[in-house]
Amino acid sequence: MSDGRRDAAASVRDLPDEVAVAPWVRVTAQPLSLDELTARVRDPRAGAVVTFQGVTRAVERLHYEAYAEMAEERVAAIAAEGLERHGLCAAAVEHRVGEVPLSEPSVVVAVSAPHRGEAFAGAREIIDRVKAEAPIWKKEVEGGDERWVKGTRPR
Amino acid sequence: MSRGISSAGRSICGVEVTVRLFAMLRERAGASEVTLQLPERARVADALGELHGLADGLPLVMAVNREYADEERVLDPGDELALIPPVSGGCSRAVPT
Repeated sequence: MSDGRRDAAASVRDLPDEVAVAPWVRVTAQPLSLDELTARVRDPRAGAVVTFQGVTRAVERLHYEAYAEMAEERVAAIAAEGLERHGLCAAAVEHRVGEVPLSEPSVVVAVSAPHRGEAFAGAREIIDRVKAEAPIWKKEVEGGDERWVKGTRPR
Repeated sequence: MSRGISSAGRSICGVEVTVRLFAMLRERAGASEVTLQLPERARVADALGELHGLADGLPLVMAVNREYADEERVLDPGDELALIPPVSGGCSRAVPT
């Protein structure tokens, strides 16, 4: 083993067991990049990375509206709780607002964890709670027709 | 759109709150926010009453200063009250209710 590799191994061992890394969260009108989000959860302690994309289906496009300030706070709290509960190394969530055309993602979640079990469970919990609790609304747009999608009452 | 309150003419010493409206509520009201003048110690329920049925038929949840709050919550001057209709963020086309 070269000195360089030994240094790298030592630095991984020296990582504290629990690092309170704030999750990356953003509500944006820009198209979402899964690659960029995945890069945000890279972590030397992680052996598993799980990503999820929610994409527009069955209609030309969806129009998303958010109470952006509160949505970012709620999503950050949800991601931080998922991080803690599942022992994740890192978590990142982005939600798009405005027009999201067919097959493009409106929401992306990335998490990293030492093993796949907690990574899958953590990602699943985070996306389920974001959908149920974040103040974000969507309207289906098909031809000239528009209608708000019936949602769930938060909490 | 702004509505004062006329409880016994005591509109001077009260609280002014901003009400944020979203999605179907914003469209119904034709405004994304309104300002309300309420009596001191007014609760979230009193603010809803001042909106004259704007939210009728929608199972609303309220937030005060970006935290979910119930109708008994007392409002302070400058509070931001948000009326949150059923949420539908994420991806699927139809969310079961």
